[in-house]
Amino acid sequence: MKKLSLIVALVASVALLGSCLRGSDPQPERVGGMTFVNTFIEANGAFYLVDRNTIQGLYPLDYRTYGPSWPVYYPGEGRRLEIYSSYEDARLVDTTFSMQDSVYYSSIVYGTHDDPRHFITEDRIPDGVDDPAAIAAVRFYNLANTERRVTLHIGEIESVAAFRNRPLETPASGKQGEDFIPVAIGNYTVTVVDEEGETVAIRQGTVDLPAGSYTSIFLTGDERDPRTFYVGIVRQWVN
Amino acid sequence: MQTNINLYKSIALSLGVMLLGGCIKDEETEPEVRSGFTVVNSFSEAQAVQHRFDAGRGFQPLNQGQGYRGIDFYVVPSCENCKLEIVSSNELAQLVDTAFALQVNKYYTSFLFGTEEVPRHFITEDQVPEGVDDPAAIAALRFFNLAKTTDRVTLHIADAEPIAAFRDRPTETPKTGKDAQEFIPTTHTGTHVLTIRNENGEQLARRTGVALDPGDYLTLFLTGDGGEPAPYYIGVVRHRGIN
Repeated sequence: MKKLSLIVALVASVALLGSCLRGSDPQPERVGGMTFVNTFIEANGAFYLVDRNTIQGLYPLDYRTYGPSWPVYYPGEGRRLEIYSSYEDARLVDTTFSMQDSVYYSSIVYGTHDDPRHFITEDRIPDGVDDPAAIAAVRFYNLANTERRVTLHIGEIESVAAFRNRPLETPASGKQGEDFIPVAIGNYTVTVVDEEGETVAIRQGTVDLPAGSYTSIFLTGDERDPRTFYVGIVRQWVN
Repeated sequence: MQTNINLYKSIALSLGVMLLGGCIKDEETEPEVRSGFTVVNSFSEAQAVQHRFDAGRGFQPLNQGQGYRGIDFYVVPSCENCKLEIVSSNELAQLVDTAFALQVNKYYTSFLFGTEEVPRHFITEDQVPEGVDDPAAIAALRFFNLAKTTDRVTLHIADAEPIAAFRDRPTETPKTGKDAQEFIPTTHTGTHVLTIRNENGEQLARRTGVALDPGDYLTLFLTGDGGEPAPYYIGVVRHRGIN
């Protein structure tokens, strides 16, 4: 009799506790977050703080680099972003942003100590794309301290309007140019030329734009030393 | 009988635990015997200076040497009769030898400037401006001319009208420095471009991106002599604490 009640108890507990196992429940997927791109040429690096907290890998983030390798996720409203120059700890940016779940963002800082500029983009799959993994898309920014208007050439492809004659971005024009524009998949030589047709910078080697790639291409550098012109490439997370 | 012995044993044990427990002093507060001491080196004629501090136990070095334009913060023992000696890296010339009091939990700043012939030095008490209820809600500034110049200089914060105390300041003497130790509250927070001009309106120095948020207490100072290797420069001390 005693044995029987033990067995009953065992079976009952397995059956009842079994319902606590949640292996088959769908797990929330953590997507979204921000990538930080430093194209501020007047300092070796920039220090990033969100709500006065440092971000690992971004303290400092060197010029012409981006990070962290996995976008940082700061859900919520009214987050304070500060960016300080490694030169004299000058504050370049003091702004707030809001982050929604499932959206990727990029923070891009550029300009000069006298006129630091910054904007935050939403990095989205272009409208009307059925299979985001089947296309390649590009956006282009002029982030160089130059008065020249520059045009991006991707191999021999006919340059789209958004990549043509771009003056130095303002925060507004940067934000407006956040859409990725589909281009033919391929492996290209990438050059940036000015309105006279003179080459400003060539990306060394070739740039691979495979299916499923979303790429920011930008010109950085400073007219005061033309050797500093450089074509930057950032492969972006999109959603 | 056996039960009784066990009972006595446990009584003895609990008694011991209770009585010895009273000896544990983890919860007691430590006496606070520290002061905050910021040292600023605006002495351009030496590569470095060394601060030696005596809190009643003889002179001990605060640092291995502080470079020109250096700003360092130390927590030092409070003392009624503190002594400070500053020696130059040039032949270990003694620039400063002074005595003062540092009160418990108060903050002070030492400013060194001048020349080898006439080294100058003063110590400020870093206090919340009078009549301020919430020190974290305001920002406040003070300005010293520690440069080697005959110009009278004015500090401009962005395009705002200069604060009266920041206008036409000749190079400080220890007395004018000490007299100007009050922080002046400002509602003009944000990120600012600072410029310093002489009485002819000529710009001597400029600094961009100076962050001024509520709760920030800054000392701004002009240093240098306008030549090489010490061009005019605007130094910023971000005070760790104020009284």
